[in-house]
Amino acid sequence: MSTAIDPVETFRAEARELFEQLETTLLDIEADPSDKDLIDTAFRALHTIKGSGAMFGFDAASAFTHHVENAFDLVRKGKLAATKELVEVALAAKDHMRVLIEQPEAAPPGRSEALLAQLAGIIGIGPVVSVSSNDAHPPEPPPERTTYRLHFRLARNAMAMGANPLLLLKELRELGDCTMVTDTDGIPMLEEMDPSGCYLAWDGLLSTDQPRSAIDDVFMFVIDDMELSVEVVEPEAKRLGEILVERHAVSADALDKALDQQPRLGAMLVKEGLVSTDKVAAALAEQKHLKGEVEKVAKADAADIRVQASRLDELMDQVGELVIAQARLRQLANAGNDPHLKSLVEEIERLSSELRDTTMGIRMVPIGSLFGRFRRLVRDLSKELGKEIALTTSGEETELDKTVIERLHDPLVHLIRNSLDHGVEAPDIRESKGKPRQGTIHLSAIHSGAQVLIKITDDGAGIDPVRVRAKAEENGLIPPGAELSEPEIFQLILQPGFSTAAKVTSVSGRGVGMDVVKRAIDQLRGTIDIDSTLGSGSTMTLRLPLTLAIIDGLLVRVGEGRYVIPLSAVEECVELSAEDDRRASGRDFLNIRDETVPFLRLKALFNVVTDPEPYQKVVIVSTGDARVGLVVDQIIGDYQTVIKSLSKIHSTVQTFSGATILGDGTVALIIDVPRLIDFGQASESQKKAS
Amino acid sequence: MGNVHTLSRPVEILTLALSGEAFALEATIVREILDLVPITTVPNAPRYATGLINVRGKVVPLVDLRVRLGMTVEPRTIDTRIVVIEATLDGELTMVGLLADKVYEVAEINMQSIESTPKVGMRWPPEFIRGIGRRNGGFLIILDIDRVFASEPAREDRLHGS
Amino acid sequence: MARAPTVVIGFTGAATIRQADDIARQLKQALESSDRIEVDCSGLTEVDVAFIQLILAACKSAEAAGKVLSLSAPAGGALLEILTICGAQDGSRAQFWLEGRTA
Repeated sequence: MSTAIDPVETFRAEARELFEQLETTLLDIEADPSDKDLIDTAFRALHTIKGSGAMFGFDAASAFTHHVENAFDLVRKGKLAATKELVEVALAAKDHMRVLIEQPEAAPPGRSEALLAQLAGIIGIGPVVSVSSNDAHPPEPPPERTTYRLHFRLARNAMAMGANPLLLLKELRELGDCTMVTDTDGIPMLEEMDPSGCYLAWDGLLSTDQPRSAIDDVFMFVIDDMELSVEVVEPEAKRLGEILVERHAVSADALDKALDQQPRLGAMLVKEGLVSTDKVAAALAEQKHLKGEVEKVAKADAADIRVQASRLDELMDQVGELVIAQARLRQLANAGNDPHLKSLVEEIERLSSELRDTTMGIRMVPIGSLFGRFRRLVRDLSKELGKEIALTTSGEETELDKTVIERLHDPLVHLIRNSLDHGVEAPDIRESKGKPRQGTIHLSAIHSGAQVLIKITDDGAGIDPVRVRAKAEENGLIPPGAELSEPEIFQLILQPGFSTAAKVTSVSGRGVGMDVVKRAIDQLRGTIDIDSTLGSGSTMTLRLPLTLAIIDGLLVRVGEGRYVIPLSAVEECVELSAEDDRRASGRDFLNIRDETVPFLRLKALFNVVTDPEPYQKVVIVSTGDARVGLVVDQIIGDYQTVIKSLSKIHSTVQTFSGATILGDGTVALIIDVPRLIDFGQASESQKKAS
Repeated sequence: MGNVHTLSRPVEILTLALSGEAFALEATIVREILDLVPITTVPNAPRYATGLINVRGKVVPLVDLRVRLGMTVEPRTIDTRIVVIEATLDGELTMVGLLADKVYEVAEINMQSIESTPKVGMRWPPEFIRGIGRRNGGFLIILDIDRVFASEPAREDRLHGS
Repeated sequence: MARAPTVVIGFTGAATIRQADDIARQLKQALESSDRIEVDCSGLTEVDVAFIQLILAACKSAEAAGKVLSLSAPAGGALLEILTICGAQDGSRAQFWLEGRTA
């Protein structure tokens, strides 16, 4: 019932998309193994799955993916051929990763090991150590940034067996800020050396917000017979001597002795033969790294702190409860006569309203992060479709509640896919129409009052209203010959059971239509407008509220029930004169400043049977271009309210976007204005028809 | 799956009255039992769920099982209670208030003593009934709450989803 | 004893674990034939840890025998890239790699 999104679910949703992309890419690689872009794409997808998997606690999936990623890294570097066998294993591995993320408990035991063994066979190294004794590990919370001191030395024969320390180092770097220094102490004389043996060791620090297991994952391939120590270090500025002692590079006694002699400790210790130059070099590098970390922490202290998203949700819930409690307090105070209480209530009201604004501000995220994720989508899909399409964006800095942003992802993907697939034409067709070969999809965001407008504009073929109408008639969505305006026709696209795709493509023809988008936007309390000019392109405009949690509303009474009308939709309130009331028995129109405004009687729509009241009011609301009056019995006043969503039991009731709890503890329904108007007009025309 | 009763351990149930018949729910899903509270009517809602109530700051739908089971609805009395339960709706755990003409008690019942639902001769939709038990010489109709809520929305969803 | 002239060994193309035996042999021969050895790495296109180890081992052997092994030029290109990844730039041999010789 809450509007909060489970971050793990968000990750899963993202992973699903990545898997889709990965699969497409792998299949493309199979067709063209020499395409370096494809290999990179696959590598990046694997890398993202590994990285975010670890972040969300899917350690088994992350560890497993790591090996597949390694294989593609080798391919990327030209050290491994993208053979059919590799693609085959990678596809099977992809399916397995998906299981590890979707239903870790359903992963067949031993499957990871079997696939990795196959993979190892292709890469040409020995059998891989087991990933994890327990594939179905429960997700752990993401750890905080930690600095580890690492020391590792590979088995002497590791390189001969195919391990590459450089890859390990690179992976360590990818985990965070990593300072690694070679330890050359183990290098023998040339005459005594096995040229393919591994003699170097590495010391250094890694500051990362990945879990400790991510470090172990790096060494998974090579863990046999290697030296590896990982310990947590507190990032504080340290003296060289302390670091050397901590690293067991020099004894404390020897250090004290050397310190007596001044001046440059490092040089002293080396000179005294107490420690090798490498050990000092590593300690110096460590000193530098720690200093950097300390500065970073200090800077972070001053500017930003990281907060778990779930805590923000909690805070928002609590602020919501506070707003409700405050409303009750106001009611109590107003009932009494205590001026002190009243002024205190005003004070609290101001504070809680400020607190609400601040809390909402914290949850605001620029939409640019979301826009950024579509570049790849457009790139890959236009390639897949053989089209040339550029994605341009504007208004990235526009801020929206993070929940809204998260939930916008899928509908936007769908709309962009639609533009790519059905909107923008193939290059040759575009050329023949005198358009540039490259099509453009423009994504923009802009604030407009308490709403945000997001537009997806393409310069493609546009939507043919004649075809849409024909299709809608064919599917029985409208009676043949129905009188519809162009915008109304375009809205038909959003109806369930409508799909203009003449052929099913892998891009958008998945048996789901635009109705899915509409439903998602509806759930966000938003609307979709479609504008299109045949031959020159289409624009989809999404209007969304800034936040889902709280709205300013107008509290009204209809019969005995109280309802909240979102203030953002309210234009003005007028009296319903007895004359208007009587006259309007057949045609419900109101004359407001020489403009006819149709009105709906909420009493009738809500089947409220109470005696007619003498002083009815009309709340004039607007949605897009239409102005409609809603007749109510009483206007109680402005009301700031926390939205509670309705349960699935009431999913068929479309006229309300949610409910809220009033000051006296009773529940009031929040009117979904556009849907109420649709509902009203539908029942009106039904009345006329019968 | 509601008809497999291999458990020999007794199960705790809450017994209640609906239009003069004795019904039972698994006690584990019951959150609390409330006296009548103000009920907000949801216009144009399904007839079995026309209300919303406030349960400790949460907006909870109120379901009249009597309508859902096709029984006669009698006016509320001093014995009328709201049983707040947690049901799985569309895979989502949801709080739901159930109107009961009277709440009797929490009792233990041996699952082995439950008889499967007869296909004919039942006044109630058989898919909502887990089985018939006996208690104090009378019949006790054991409800399958998840199905009581699942069937209709689920059916609709299947149509939309494909 | 007449000083033998400086021997320059140039490595080109790949210098990785696959060429390690050859490289080791060439370095050994150079160390035996002269006490001033210069290694020219400018033609290298691919380097790995094995090569770096071999040069370090050769340095060690040279120092032990009182000979001088230097680079014809400071590390660049593929070699420098690998040194950076290794963290050898911060290591004790930093001067050798970046200036071509040990002080």
